[in-house]
Amino acid sequence: MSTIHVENLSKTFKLKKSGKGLSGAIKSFFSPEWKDVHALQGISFDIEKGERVAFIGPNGAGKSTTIKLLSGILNPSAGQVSVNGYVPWQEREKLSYEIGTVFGQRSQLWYHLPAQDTFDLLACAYEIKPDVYRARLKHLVETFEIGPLLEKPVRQLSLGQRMRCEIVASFLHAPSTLFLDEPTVGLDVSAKAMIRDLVYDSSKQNGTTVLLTSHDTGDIEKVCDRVIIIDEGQIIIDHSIDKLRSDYIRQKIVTFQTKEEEIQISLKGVTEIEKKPHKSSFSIDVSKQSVEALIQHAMDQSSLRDITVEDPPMEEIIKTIYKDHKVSA
Amino acid sequence: MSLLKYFPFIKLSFKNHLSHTMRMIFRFCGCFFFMVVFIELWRLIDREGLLEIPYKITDLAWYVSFTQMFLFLSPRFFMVINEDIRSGDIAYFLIRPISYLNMRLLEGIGALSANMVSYYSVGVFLLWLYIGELPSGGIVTLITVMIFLYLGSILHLMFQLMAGITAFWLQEAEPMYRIYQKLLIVLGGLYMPLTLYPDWVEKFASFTPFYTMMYMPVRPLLNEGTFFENVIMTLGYFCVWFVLAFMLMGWMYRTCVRRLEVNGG
Repeated sequence: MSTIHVENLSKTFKLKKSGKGLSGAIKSFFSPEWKDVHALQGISFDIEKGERVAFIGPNGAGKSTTIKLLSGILNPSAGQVSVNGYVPWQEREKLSYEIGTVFGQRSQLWYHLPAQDTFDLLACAYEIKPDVYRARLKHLVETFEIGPLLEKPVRQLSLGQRMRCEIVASFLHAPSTLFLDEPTVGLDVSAKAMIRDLVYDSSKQNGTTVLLTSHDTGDIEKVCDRVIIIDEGQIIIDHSIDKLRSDYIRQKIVTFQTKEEEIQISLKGVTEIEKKPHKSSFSIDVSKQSVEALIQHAMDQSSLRDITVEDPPMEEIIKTIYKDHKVSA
Repeated sequence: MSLLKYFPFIKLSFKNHLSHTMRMIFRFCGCFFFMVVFIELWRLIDREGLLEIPYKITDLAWYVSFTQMFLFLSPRFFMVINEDIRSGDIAYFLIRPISYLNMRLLEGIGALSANMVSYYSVGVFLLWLYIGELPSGGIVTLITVMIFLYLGSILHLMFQLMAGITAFWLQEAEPMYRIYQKLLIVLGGLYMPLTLYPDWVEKFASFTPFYTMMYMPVRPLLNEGTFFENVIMTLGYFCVWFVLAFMLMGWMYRTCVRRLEVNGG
């Protein structure tokens, strides 16, 4: 049985239409009109134990709504969901002991108090035995390097420091499933890298299932092994990262280091993207030209010292997918 | 569900409240200022013979001081609930193995208890110095009043919580709280004992929670009423109103959570 099972899940919100101008406002006050917003339209997927899945899509695609439904915050309009064998909105309390959540835009830490106090409070809320709690906190404090931060009021922490504390708070009760909603939003490069590594390592070591939403493709590349892309409440792609790469990589970056100062290449599907003395980079459209042909062509023209062939960054792949599926990112 | 797990919320809130020293001192000074104003007002009325007062003026001074204290003892708790609802944070508490209502109520009790420490020690001592003597009922009456006022403040917190929940419907809890507060001032006997109002007002007030949360706890300071009226009846009224408040609070919260689920986080 899957850890997360989602079948034909739909969610419709009712929004009040606001009238234009003063007369519209008065009319709306006495006779409000409502419109339906279909945030999710019958999505289905399964996630197995220990899988790390990225849930991505443009703003308003339905990512956060899905996480809220799976964690039990919202009730669906239709469909079935099972998380760790529980129906989230009906068995919230039982489920809460088994899931951890991080909402990048929200804090679960008490703002004016040191993070240590929140951890103590959560340990009581989750009824963690004191010796288990002490050992787990010690391990998490060492792993997330938050020892010096424990006694500082949360309001004095930087965003990166706070996010590390948020994740520790989510890991305290050793959840088997993690829902991370934009966990690296607003963080600097090193803080992002640290959080990605920690989530990945924790999942690998403990078999934690991770469902992550993010606009940062780095989160997807470093943490996840599967991607679900959603747009306008519908799933448009559900593939492993490897399949996504093989299916959507139409370009590669080839860099030559040459004895000659420069090389000239004019082949169909090949575009020069960087030119320095003794070093040139080309973008090659693999549907029009093979990498071998490009290398052969370069070897015919110059003495090569080094060759590098790279995939384009994940961001480019996602852009391609959005373009193919006419997603307005 | 183990209730023990909620007690750390009292402790944490107590600690949090004490950490805001300047806010506490400022609030305490404000409270003492109003106590002095009302004591002097009643002294003036008594001196000038503007009203026939059936009580000893020092007892009345203790009475109006304690009703003022009641107002300042409780934190402005409805604002916390109001903010949770307006920001949508309340939705995120649903996925914790704790009841939002219990958590917030116990946090309120923590803050109330932190205030109580200074008001019941320094506050009462300063009042004794200012008024010049203890109430006629003596120290036992004073202690009884302090215990009942604490219970009354908890009941007040529960009604504040309900006023806060109305933000689900009204988008803003402040208007509802303003109405509630005005009723508390009149029907709780904030400025003068209810016995000085027309009989029908006192009768009507006795059916409201304001009478139980404020008037009944401080009434013994006026040195009237029997032990049965001042203790047994007060306890009985508290039992009834605590049960009703719990039921009403639970019903309002469940209704709101359903609304939250429909409208989103």
